[in-house]
Amino acid sequence: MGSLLVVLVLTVSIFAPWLTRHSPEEMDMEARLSGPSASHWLGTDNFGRDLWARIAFGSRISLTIALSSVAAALLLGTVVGLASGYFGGLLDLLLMRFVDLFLAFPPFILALALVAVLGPGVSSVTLALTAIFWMEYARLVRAITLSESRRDYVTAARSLGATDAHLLFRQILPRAFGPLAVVATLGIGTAIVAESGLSFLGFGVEPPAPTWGWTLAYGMRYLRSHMWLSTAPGLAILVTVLGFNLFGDGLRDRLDPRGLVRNS
Amino acid sequence: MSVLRYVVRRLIVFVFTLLGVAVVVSALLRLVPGDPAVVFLGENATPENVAALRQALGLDLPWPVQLARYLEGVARGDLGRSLFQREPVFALIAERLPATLELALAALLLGVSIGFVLGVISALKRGSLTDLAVMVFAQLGVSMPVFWLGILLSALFAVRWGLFPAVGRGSFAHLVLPALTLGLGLASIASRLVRASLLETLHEVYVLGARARGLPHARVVAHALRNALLPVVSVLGVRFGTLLGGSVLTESVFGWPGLGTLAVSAISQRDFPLVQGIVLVFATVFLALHLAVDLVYGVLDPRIRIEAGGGPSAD
Repeated sequence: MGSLLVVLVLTVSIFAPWLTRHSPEEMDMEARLSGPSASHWLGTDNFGRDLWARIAFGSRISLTIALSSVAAALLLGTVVGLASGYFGGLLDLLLMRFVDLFLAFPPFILALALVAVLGPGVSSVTLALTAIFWMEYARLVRAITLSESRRDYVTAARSLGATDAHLLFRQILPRAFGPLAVVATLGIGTAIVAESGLSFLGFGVEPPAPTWGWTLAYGMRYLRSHMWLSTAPGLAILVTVLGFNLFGDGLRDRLDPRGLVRNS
Repeated sequence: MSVLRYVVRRLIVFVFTLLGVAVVVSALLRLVPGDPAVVFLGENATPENVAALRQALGLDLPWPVQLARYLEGVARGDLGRSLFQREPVFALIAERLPATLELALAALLLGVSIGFVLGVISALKRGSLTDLAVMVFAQLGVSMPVFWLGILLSALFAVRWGLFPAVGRGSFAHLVLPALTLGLGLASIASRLVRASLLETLHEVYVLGARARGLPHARVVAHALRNALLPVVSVLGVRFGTLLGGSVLTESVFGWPGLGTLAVSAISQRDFPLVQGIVLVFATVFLALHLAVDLVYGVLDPRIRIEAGGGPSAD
């Protein structure tokens, strides 16, 4: 189910120009606030812009930011976690206190603060989301590195002359791939919600870019008369996040069947 | 490790983390691309005005001096003056904080209560249709953006049926929809946690032993619940941060006059001292709650104190 929803969203995002009959910014004042029709599948907004086109093209913004921020957080967190867990000592102490410092902020508040100082835009939002996600990966990779580096196969490889780089990237890191994949998949859903939240407040990618959050916020002005304007982008966010969450849950159950048995 | 040593240790960590948070908050101004004074005043501002604002913000000083001044101010409760409203940041925050705490606590209470009941029912009726319905609710609740849920609740219960006010604060009726919006996400997480924890505890040897001794089912479940709830409390404490973040969005949907709506207007107006003050207060509340959960957990469960005293780290 999760993978089906993810494939559906990715398909819409990639093939958006072929799946829509209008540009997301094209205005048709004669058709403003019209209901669903053959020409406008989900109707139009106050400027006569096609809602389906805005949602389809909006998925590109959400997914680009979510995937980039999760990838950047994964990379940063992995490097910090590996260094911290493998070399230990003062480096570990300093890096982990740095992680603790970032964890001291409520995540969305930290993202808001960063967007406040950096200004709106794709790169600012991506950076802000990276800043609130990397610590989770760092702690996970550190824990795995700590436990793996004490195992016999690592000791044996080291005594055979394996370098630190070989041990870190060829022996220890591959053991973290499974758990990282699960956390990253679930993280994409969280990133989409956070990005939509920032856009909803007007601090994401600036209009007229068709972000889901802003489309939803705009639709709120017509709640009494045209509820679908906020329902459609909300459903788009829900379906996408649900897809990644279910996919992540499925991945976790496959990688750790004990958890499935325990909780079923 | 004794309870007293554990408490002192946690308090020291709390103070140092708070200090680190204040340093990060102070450094936020330095992250602004370009000159923050020009960003606030606009490109057409006179050099005199820009210089005056730079001085007011402490940007004319080297960062260590600016940091020392900021920390000294924070220690005295002086968070600077709002650039836009020209009032002390502390006073503006003090005026709005109770509303945010009221909303967050109501949501916490509602979320934990609903989640607890659903989680227990789901675990006790494992594999049934009820269990499936609770799990679907939990999955939807976790995936649904809080602001969209707020809009839907507002559209139905306020706009269409007129049961509750759509915006504002003042009466219990005003609190219902915002607290429900913020609390349902937490209820979803809590129901999953309680279900998983209770299912695991119900398979523990001491529970099986209690059953074998012929204890009534209700008493066995009550025994299991007490132990099952310990990890749930810890995780929910951490989740309070998400609740605070969600409060910004919820307040925006319902026009709730709290710290969240103040933050949104401060960011829109590029009112940097006010943004810094709000972030500092949110982080302090968040850390204080973590500390409270840690202390309660440490007092209740001696294993935590042993770990904190040099045993295997949870990191």
